[in-house]
Amino acid sequence: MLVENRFGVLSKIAGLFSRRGFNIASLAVGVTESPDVSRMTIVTDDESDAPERNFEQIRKQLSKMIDTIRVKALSEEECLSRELVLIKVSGDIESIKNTVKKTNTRVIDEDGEICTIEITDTPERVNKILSEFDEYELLETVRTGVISLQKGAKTLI
Amino acid sequence: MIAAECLVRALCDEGVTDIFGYPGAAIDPFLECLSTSDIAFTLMRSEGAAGLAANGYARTSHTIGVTAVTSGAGALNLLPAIACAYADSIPIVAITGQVRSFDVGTDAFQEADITGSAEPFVKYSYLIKEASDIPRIVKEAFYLASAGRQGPVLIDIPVDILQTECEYKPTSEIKLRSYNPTSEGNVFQIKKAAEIIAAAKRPLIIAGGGIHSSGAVKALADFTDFHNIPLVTTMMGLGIKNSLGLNIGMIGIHGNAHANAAVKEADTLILLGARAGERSIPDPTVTNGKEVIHVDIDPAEIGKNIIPTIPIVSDCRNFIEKLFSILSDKLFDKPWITAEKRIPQTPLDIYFDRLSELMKPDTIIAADVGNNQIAASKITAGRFLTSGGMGTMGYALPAAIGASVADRSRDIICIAGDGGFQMSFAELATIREKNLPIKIIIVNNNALGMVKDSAAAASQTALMNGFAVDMSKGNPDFALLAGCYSLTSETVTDFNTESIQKLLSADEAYLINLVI
Repeated sequence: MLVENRFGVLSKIAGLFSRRGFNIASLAVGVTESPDVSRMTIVTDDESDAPERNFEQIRKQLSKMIDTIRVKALSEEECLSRELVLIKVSGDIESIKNTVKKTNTRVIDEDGEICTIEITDTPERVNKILSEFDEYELLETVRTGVISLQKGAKTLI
Repeated sequence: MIAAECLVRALCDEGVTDIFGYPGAAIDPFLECLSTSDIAFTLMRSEGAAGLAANGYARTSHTIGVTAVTSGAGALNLLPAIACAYADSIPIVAITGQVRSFDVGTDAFQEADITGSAEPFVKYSYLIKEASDIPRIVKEAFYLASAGRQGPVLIDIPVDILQTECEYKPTSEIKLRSYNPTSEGNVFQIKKAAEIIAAAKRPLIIAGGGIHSSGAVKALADFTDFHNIPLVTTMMGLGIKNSLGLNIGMIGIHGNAHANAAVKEADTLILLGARAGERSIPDPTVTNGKEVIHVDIDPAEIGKNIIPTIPIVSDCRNFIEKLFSILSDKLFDKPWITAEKRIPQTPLDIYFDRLSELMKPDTIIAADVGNNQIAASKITAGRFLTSGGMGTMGYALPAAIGASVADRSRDIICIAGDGGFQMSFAELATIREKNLPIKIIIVNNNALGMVKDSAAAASQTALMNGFAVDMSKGNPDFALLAGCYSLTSETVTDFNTESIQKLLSADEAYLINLVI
């Protein structure tokens, strides 16, 4: 969704999800090519009996907010999605580097037996890659949340 | 000029003539400037009451109600009134003073994050950071409160900004690219709705609060009278006049059985400005197999509680007028169902029936919450104000004050139970101070009657027997209480209807403690 880049908008949107009983699986926000417009990519999942109807309701509630410029509901198949993950792992440095090579990821920092690795991929592949590092001691993880654009020529506005 | 004066000027430019409020350090610079303006200030006895008075004012004057209170607890006291206006889509602008801008976030004295606290219940809120933004923000706030689905808008303004020197530069333009509400329904959809209504055998209109907020009362009466199409109302839709017995009555769990039966029997339901909440349509499956035309100005209300066959996002009046221009040939020689004469069940029903007969047709009834409200909802004449969505106890008295300030020419009757009345009886002082000729009926059963009744239905034996609902040991003599404020009053224990005549003929405020 595109929103006015104003004070308090993020809390309004997050609050709307929580008070309508919706779970936010991931939320990524950043300014767009226009500095007064922010773009949010929100991933939500719903295991209720009527997910489509619930989803339509949350879409309408989001659209109704004064600061909302555009909301578009997209399924996984319609988007190009990426997530950036940084992990800090400890273990045999050569072995870690082999796994990095195999998974096509990047070491961005090294301190003795501790490596910080950057992973950028689709959310699904990110999870697969992370499992490749299971054999090492995982010290810390940070994920940006998913960001998406529509496939092809389509844009939000 | 200081910013507080700019704020007063901006309000004057919006046509504001009355403000309800309560003072305090953070709002005082504004009140000081207000005192020399053309805007009249009504000092209420609590901030919450000020917000509810603004509600009654807005609904009576068909303008925007304005309230101004101080920061911290003062602003927080407004929350129930803001939520009440939000639930019933009543346009109010609430102005709250805030601690100095450089103290915001330091837990300063009387600091509360009011924009954050009110967030779930406002249409929009502003925290003013620059004095020069005042004209724009006031303009936007008044526009947002009244455009599309109406509702409360909050303006929070730090006290140091109120005192800043600035110049008043009025704005005439509103630039809100992200807010473009639809008020004119899709022509194709309206045509489809007309076809369905024309083909229907048992069409029924369910009229809600949207009829009042869009000013469609007359348009709806003209349309239904001409076509002989019956209608039912929700509680928020009460007060829709219909001379031909086409108004079957109020639906819902507190509605009349005949009206609820009409909903079941109809083959086509036309919901106009009614959100089909669970108290009005407790069983959404009642719409199964029917054509359902749902007209609402808020797209988010369509498909939320019931699934329509024809959704139409439109202002109700626009819709009815367009529909009427398509359906210009009379559809029915007689209605498929007509109102049944209601047989009064209780002495209170008989008393209120008598009140209906005797009161002027344009009387405003401000009803509280509880059994008194349900009994008052049977009063068929007049305009009915109540807290429909939020069920805000203590609503009636301050709302009646707002209504009375808005229109002194109309009779205003406040009906409240002994419970709700005690939540706002301090407002008797406002009535005294302003000499407002408000008529008050306290339906006094020395208990929280509706709670007691629902406890009985739920077999909650302790509550049924008085636990947490018995008021008898603490209730004051309400007639005497009114006397303390030098208001005329009487206690009625036998439902004598002369008391109604005395109430209606009194030139000043009059309180009946109706012991039932």
